[in-house]
Amino acid sequence: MESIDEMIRRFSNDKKKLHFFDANCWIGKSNNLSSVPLSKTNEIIEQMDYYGIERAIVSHTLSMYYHPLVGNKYLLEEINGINKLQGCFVLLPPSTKEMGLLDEYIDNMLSREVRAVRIFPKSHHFSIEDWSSAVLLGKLEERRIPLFIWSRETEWDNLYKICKNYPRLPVILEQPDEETALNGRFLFPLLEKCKNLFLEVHNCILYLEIDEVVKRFGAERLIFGTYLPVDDPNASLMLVTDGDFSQIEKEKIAHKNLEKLIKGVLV
Amino acid sequence: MNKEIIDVSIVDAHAHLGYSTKFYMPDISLERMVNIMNKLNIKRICCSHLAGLSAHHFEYAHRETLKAIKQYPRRIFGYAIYDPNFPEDSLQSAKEYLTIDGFIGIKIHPAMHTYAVDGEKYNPLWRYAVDNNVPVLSHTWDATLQTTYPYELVPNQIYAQPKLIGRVAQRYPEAKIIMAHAGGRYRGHLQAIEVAQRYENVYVDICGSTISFGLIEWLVKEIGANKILYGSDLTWNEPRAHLSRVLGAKITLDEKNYILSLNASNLFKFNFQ
Repeated sequence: MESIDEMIRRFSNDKKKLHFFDANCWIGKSNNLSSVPLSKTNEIIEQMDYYGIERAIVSHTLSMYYHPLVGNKYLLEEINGINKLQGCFVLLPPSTKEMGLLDEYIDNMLSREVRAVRIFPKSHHFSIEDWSSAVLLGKLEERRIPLFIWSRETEWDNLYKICKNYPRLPVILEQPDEETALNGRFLFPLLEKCKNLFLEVHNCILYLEIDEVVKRFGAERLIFGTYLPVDDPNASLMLVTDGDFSQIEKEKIAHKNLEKLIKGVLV
Repeated sequence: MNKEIIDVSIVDAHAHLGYSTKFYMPDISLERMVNIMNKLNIKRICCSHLAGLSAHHFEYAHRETLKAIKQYPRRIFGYAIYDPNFPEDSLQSAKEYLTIDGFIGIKIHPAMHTYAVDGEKYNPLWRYAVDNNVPVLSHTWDATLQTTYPYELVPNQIYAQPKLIGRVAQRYPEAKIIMAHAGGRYRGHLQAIEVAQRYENVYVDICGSTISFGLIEWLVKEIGANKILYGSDLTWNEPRAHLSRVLGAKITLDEKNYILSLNASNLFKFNFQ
């Protein structure tokens, strides 16, 4: 058996080989209570360097906890000129015109190298049924812009409808702040039925879940993320470095799958 | 560190056997469990069976735990289960199984058994644990409203708040109690830290469904590495997720050795078996 010291060294070396690209990173003050309430951009970059995460897609907490219009603007200012950070906007459906005209907003977003979006239907109180969100979802599908959505921000039936109604839209499910073990009986049939559904791995802490998803649905369906600075990046890093699958599959999860989705955006 | 202690093999102090009613578990087989233990260099694992926690079937749980211990001796160890809804029967059953080599402690789950951990129906357990120097692993969790959507409150967790363990420790200061999950979430962690600081024989473990940033370093700073145990919550949660939080923590190698190995080995007397 390896000693604990040897395991620490191996974990550190294995991380370096995989060039981790984090899909779920945040800047700004969080509503999550924490013993280490990090929020500043330089603090996040410092942590990324420490944990061996080379690049990240980031959102701003103002976009989620205050208003997307303000948070997205702040995000661009914060990450301007920082190569290892790429923005992820938070959007609303266009009917209320809070974000201006959707086409213009998305064109502007893409021109600023933002290649992914999040929506928070429950926190922001809107419906993702077609009567409310078809225009938004249709536009994202048209441009193949990856859509990140939290499991607790929607219903499983609605998630199924989005994936089915917009089959060319890459939908990435994230599972922050919840007991994810409870999701498996929803998640597995959804992954089975919806080929455009991906799973971000930061909270895949149900025993053997990550290995089972790779075995049944392929490593192509998993996207590396950490939910830094709310959750401990070590957890998702080791789920990949010590996953029960091949090095090629680990590379896909660590960075290649996300790179492929971003490259697939029609600018 | 005591240089005479040479066995710093990893001990998982909090794991389970069996199914959960509420969710899908990809593989609960003992073979897979031992396979992943081998891969992660986990030498010993201490398990309680879920049939005695999510349901009241402690007799079945004890029988199945014994089977696992016999199938993988010196690798799989067992907790007997005390159920306050059946105090006499469950204590009697626990006593019988604790005479068998491989049973190392008692597990209680006040939230699932819906009875407060400081309630009088637990008194026979605490008396037995003190008299026989048997460690007790108790589920603990935060029972306050959460600060993010949907502001979840799990009512049953009110029975398992760390501050209630503090009341038990005050009455039974010699009882060796491990507060599972170190209180679960932030406000529970605050309570757990206060209790572990105040009472010499109260420990925490780090497993569960939360993987908060900086928690390991915070616990080490507040209560010291010699009061923290590694646990995975397997077959519920991932051993890799929790192991990595210690391996990659910003603490010393000595502190990691205590958390991953020495504290549990001392508590369960593994080095003397």
